[in-house]
Amino acid sequence: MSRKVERPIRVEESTQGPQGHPVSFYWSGRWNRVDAVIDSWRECGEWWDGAEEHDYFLVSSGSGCYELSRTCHGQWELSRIID
Amino acid sequence: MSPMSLPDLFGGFVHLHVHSQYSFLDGASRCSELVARCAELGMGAMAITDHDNVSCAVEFARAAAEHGIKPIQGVELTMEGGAHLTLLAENPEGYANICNILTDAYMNSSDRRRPEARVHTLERHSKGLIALSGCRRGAIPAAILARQHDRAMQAAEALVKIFGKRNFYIELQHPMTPGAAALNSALIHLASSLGVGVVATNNVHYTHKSGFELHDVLTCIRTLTTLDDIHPERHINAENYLKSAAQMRELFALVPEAVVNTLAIAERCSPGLNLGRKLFPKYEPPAGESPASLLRRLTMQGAEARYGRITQAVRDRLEHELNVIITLGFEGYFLAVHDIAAWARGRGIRCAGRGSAADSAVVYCLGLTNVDPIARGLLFERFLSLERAQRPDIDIDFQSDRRDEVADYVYERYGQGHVASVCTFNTFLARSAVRDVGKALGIPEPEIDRLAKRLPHIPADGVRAAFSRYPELRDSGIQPHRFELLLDLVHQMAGLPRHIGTHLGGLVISGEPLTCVTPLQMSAKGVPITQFDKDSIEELGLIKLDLLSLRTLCAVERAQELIKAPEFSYDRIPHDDAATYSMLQSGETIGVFQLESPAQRALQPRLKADSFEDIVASVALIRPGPIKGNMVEPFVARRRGKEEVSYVDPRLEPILKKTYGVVLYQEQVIQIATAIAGFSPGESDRLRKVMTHCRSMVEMEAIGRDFVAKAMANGTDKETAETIFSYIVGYAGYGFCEAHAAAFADTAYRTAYLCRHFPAEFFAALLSAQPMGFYPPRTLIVEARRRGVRVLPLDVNASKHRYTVENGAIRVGLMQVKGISASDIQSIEDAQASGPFTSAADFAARTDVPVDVFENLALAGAFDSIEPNRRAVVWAVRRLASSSAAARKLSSEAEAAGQMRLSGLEDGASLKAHVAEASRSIRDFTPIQSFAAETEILGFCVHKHAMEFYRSSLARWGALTASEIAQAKPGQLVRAAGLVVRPHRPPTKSGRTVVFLSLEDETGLTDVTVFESEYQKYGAAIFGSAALLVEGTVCDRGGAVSITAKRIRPFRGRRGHASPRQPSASTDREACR
Repeated sequence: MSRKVERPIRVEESTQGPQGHPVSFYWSGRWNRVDAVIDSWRECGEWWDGAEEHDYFLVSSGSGCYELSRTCHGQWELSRIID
Repeated sequence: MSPMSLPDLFGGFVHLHVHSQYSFLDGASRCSELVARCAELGMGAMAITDHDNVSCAVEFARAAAEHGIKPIQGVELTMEGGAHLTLLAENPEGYANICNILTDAYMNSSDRRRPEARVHTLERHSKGLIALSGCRRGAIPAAILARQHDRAMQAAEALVKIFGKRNFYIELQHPMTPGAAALNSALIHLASSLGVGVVATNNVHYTHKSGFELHDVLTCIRTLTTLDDIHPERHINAENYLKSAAQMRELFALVPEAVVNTLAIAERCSPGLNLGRKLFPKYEPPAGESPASLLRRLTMQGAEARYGRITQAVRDRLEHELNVIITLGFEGYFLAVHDIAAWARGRGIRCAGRGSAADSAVVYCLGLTNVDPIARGLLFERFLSLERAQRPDIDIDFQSDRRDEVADYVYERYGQGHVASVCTFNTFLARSAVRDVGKALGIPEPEIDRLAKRLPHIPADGVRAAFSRYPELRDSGIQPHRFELLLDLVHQMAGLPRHIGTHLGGLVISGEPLTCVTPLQMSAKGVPITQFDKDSIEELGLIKLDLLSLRTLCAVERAQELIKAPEFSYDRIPHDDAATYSMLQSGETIGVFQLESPAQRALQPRLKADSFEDIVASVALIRPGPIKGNMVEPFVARRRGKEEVSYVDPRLEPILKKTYGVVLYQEQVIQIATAIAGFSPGESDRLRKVMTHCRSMVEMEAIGRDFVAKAMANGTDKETAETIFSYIVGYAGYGFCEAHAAAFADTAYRTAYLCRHFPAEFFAALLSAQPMGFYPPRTLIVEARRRGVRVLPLDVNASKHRYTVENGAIRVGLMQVKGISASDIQSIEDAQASGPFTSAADFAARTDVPVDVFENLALAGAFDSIEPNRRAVVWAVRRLASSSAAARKLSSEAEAAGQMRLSGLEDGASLKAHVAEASRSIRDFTPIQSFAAETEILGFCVHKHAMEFYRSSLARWGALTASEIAQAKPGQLVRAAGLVVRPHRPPTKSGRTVVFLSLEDETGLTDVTVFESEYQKYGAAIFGSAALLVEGTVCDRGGAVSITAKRIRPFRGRRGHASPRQPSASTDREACR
């Protein structure tokens, strides 16, 4: 089960290893460390209606899985929470 | 040298999985762009791997050579079951094996458009190939994604068995899609287990990241979806472009050997295409002769037949040509073409050669053309020369209804696998691009249709300019953002191939099996086609022969059959018939081959042709080039003696005398360069070809300097040399091949003779050969009438399959009926043979035509001579048809069972009585209803022209008929009305838009010219209306009368319809159902 969230969040990105990967993100009043990036991908969205390219990261943190997305301008969002 | 220690070969990475434009509707970039980008990125090699074809191979080899990169030929193969496999040719043997595998895949699949390669074909043709496991649709990745790892391993082992460990690699891609990283991990693990290498590719579908949008739209077109739809074949991101080596290294940072292996593979591969081969047809001569001696013998025999006495000049010319032909190794080709034409003639199939082949005396003596090049002073070097060493290309027109018999003979005679049709690539033009992109963007179909229909036939990248230029395209009704997107995408699609098709007449005959250089696949017509078009076929070492269909030859053959004069022969028509030239001079040339267009009809009265040479010039003059180059007026003025003819150099006189000092023909360009600059004829022809394809002023100036220098060395002063060069610069690109013009002029003159002396037979033949020519059948009927020929209506007793002539009148043929088939016509003709039909009921009882065809015959008046009331017959058709069908069925069942026929069914007499009763009680169609019904079924009405219904109200408005306008004074302000015939916007010398159209009424055609300012006001009406009202001034140019339009509006007749259509005829049909 997953639920849509689609809220802007703050994310700390890696400076070593894969560049730009999330290392931790601020949600529910605290910083959540990313244990692992399970998967990552890129989507162009509805480009014909002016949508921007987004990078997506499926991360595990604690006991949960979260889908984070980042626009080409570097703005992060928590897209979904997967229970 | 071990792979890990390879130096930075080829720029550090080689793309081994790349789709060009020949991955139809999936490759969004042209080969030239991909290769240029590859070179820009510093990569020294690249593979092209299109879906199930190698159509890019020649273009790729050329582009790669220009940019100094190594081309690796490959393919992305579809296997049985749909899995993909990437194959790369290591060498020419590997390339030939790809061709064999593809041929087998196409020829043995149940759907000719969906090839399926079989494993055992790979086993038989695996040498020289390196296989990569493919994209996500490869058998191995697909199995892993389905969590069937055992199956993945089995598939991999099978491929290792076929290709060997050294020639099989697991392909890794990182398209940044969900699950890509996990898939790669599994593939790496599998590769390690098997002991095979891994190789990184990027499954390239476009050159730059920005190409993704076009690719996405192409995918929607291919999958018949819109952008708003979701489809598994649509890529979710723009990562499948030609990435740099650094980008690929970063993507595969954890698997560096996957990047290095691309270099190792590239180093192993040598070019797959051997472009220097000669695969000319082989012709087996009789014992004791060689192909060369046979060709010589046949030529000399033909020369005796053509010339009677062979003079030294003829002999010298023939020897020169034969020496060139034999030196270049083309004797087998000429013998094959001669054999094919002789076979056709032996079976009574009419044929005529055309094109630059008519420059050859050998071709003339072999009986392939009817133009004597020696008498005309035509240059052989325009056709063939040692300097250019180009392939000969002989085009022969055959009567269209029997052309396929000739093609069948060629396949049978020269061997399956050695003969194939040349393919063509149907590319996106403006209309097709707007339709396809519009659908993908989700624009409603009626809006797209309206827009597309109004676009002229221009390249897709001309659409933006067309929208601002043509008034009929304004106000598209499409939302602005989508409209902009539409224009942008359509522009990008210019020239992209949409699908493979069959060249109209091009065939290749090869001495070796064709699959050594090209795969073969089946066309929609059921003939094998190559995967290379006419532009690439020569570079593969093949020679093309064009077996074309010409409906005019069909019409000629039909006219010959209809003309009952025993002494008449089309082939012996004299070339100096005064009456024919008199007709040409009047401009009354509707129906005449090449001379019937409005532009030709306007030219002829000014030109006043009185010799064959004038007809040759006419054919060459009315072309976009001479019109834009302003050659027509000077030519006509000089021809009529109104302008003095002068030559800047006396050496030009013998060359340009026949065209009054105007450079009209390509052969003249060659002769001028030879005479003035001292080039050999072959060098001159090469110069002409270079100038024709010249792309820039800088290039042309360089050619000019070379020409002038050589001319000066040959004794010409600088100023004269520069002036002469300026003449040929203007005409080299536009000039027409004189031999081709002469070949066409021969047919043009002969058809003009037929038109003048046998108009009934000629127009009946033209109508039987439709669709063809410039005008629809309706206009030909008006013209025939104008010439005093009566036209008799469709009649079930008198009409045959085709149009016939009865006592000098044309009888409409059964073929004209909408929806009628050949078997329906045969059924009618078979029944006619046992006696005339006496009633509609009798017709129903004796024929077996479908009810809708029966209905159409009734609506078109086919029963008028035997039934008094047309509408009554239409009402009765269904009942007649079903009763008769039932009766026939029961009759044949009874007969088969040896029983008496059952009684109680309606018999012929009672059905006939039923129709008679209906005739008394139902009012027949009004004249307008009959007209409307006939026009719908036949395309015209024999008894009345549409404009006749409005003649009295048009007369009150002041409209003159076409015949009255022909007598009007120049400058007179007139009004005209008529059905619109062929409005068109040809290129003009000023570059401004001028529209030419004709208005047709019951007396003939009125030509109308619409200049730019009026076109901007009335363009929508011109191109959107069936009939027009025009006010303008009469213009008379040497006897060619036309109207220059000042005001135009649509003519809608009564009740808002453009023609007198009434709903009642269709209401009748509905009521009968």
